[in-house]
Amino acid sequence: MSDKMWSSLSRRNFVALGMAGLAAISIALPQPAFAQSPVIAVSFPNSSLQGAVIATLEAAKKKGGELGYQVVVDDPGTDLKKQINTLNTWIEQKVAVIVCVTLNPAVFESVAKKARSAGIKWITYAEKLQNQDATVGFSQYESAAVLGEYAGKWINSNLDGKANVVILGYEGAFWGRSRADGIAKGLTSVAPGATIVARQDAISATEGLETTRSILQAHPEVNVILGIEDPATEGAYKAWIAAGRDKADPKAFIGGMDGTPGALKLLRSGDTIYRASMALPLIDLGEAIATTADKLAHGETVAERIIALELVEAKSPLADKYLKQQGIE
Amino acid sequence: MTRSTTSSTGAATNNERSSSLLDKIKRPEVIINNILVIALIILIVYFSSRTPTFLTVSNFEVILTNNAVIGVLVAAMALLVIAGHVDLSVGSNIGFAGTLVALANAEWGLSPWVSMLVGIGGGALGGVVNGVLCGILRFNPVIVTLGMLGILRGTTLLIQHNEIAGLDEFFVVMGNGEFLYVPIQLWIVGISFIAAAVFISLTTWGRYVYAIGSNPRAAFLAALPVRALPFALYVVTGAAAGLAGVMSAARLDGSAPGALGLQMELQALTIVLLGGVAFAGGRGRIGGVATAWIFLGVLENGLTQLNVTPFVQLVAAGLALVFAASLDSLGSVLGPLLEGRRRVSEQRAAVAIGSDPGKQDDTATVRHL
Repeated sequence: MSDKMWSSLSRRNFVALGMAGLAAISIALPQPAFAQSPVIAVSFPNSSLQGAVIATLEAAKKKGGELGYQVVVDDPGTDLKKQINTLNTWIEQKVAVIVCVTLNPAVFESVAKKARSAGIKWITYAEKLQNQDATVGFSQYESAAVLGEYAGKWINSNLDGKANVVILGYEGAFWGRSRADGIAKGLTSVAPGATIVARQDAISATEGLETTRSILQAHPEVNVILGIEDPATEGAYKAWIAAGRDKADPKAFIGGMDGTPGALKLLRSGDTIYRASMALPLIDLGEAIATTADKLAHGETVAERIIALELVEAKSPLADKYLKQQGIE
Repeated sequence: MTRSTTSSTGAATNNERSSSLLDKIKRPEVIINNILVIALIILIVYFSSRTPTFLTVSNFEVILTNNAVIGVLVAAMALLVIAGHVDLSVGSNIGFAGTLVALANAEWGLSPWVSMLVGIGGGALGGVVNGVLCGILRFNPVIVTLGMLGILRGTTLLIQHNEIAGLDEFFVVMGNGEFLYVPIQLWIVGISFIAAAVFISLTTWGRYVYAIGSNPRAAFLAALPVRALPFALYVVTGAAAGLAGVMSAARLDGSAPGALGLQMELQALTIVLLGGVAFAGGRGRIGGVATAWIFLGVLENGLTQLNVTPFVQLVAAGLALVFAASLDSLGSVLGPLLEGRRRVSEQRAAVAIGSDPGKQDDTATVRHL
């Protein structure tokens, strides 16, 4: 048998085996019941990548189920075209409510208008559109400003109002710019003597680690690092240690946002330079999505439902509370 | 007579040496790699002139350790691309392996060595699947490995979607420790590049990689291992992604399943192509890939040190990719062109020698010696 023939047969066998396997799986899997209940459709980019968001959406599904809804979630990643396509599909399907995370809000005005024209209620998550029925979420800018103000007060108390600050942000999206601007505004309003020596993109732990290591080479005098995402500031904390610095330096401050497990564990121990995080009230947010959608579907008017992010300080019992919300002891 | 013969022999040897050197310089790989080396030197000089903290030993240590993970990956992936294949699932494979090692150590309580083997083994397993589908069954590598990119990330998140932290001291040392005053991660990346270079330059199977990459049909007719070798290279690339995942987890003292290794496949491919490896296979050197690896590290570190706005950094990263594509095309165009010119000049030289008895004598003397 020639090599080519062997290859062809193998491929045929492989494809046949694969088809048979898929058929077996589709027969074996339980068939979902036809969705009789109205649908709350949630479009949340990168939701499957973040444990905290998964907890929020699970809470939304649970609460939605209690209220008689089916909550469906789509994660388009960062693909805007894919997100718009899914939204258009939901409009065709005439779902009851659409909840949408808008990485760049202006782009979504026309699709939101189309949805509302089709009788669908539109909720924007953590942002505001002109064409919407309600906003659910939290204010990016104001929440970030709280972190900046807290860091500013710490600088005034511990560093006589003088500090060299790094902000780890994300310029590629509106929410990222809002948070970074909020941190900067809050910081400088309370501690005008603080100098922002670098403002760079970093939202993952790896980016936080690598960017901070480079910044510490250029600015060894840096003593305050603030980030718009806890994973990035967790990476910055690793970079601080990798640079041979004291992880409990009383003259240094790291603070982030969202309240991820890593950051909350550091805050719970309370003996490091990781001194603050603005934690997302995950369960409250999830439930607010479902209850707001329910009210709108019943013809009530809800302009906005803002859940405040909560400042978790070192050794605060809130760290434990938010860890438990994420299923972590 | 003897003196004149010796003199003419010496001149001929010098001529031979210089012509051999010229021949080497005319090789497209040498030209491409020199362009990159020149660009790297210009970049270093520029950043050094802008900030005094750039040209320091500690900063170069930061540049290399920051990029050690991707270095281990590209050392293996370069061999695969030279063989005419590609693996676009490596980013997710890093996330998969990094999460496995963190789970094994922090959650399942396995020893560090066993956890490390679990991570590398998990990465290699991804490589085995790619190897069977692309190397043995000859499915399209771009489509299959793009599919695996999603499968591996999804599987990782199904296994664990929350962050894991708190690995053994062993991993803290592996991530941030030193051996003989050199960071351990640099030892690993150095050994990876040397092993890849030795394999492709000094072993028979290394030469097969070029042969299969340049013309798989001819390689098949020459009874070369056209299925076994790509399969092995996929497994090695998967294992390298596994090792990269272990190194990432060690540096971060844990793993973020959704983010670890995200989009690293594009970064790796950029380095491999920028290093002069032809996307179609058959051409490339590990030295060139190592240069490209340092080039991108220097670019990223320099722009961060100068606090250049992230938008400009995006433009710079995009330009590097375009530059890589240009080098790839340049190599494809220059290769046949220079080869043609070399042959013409050889023929001209042969004709000139044939019509000049004196030169013929000199050459005869040299050949005789």
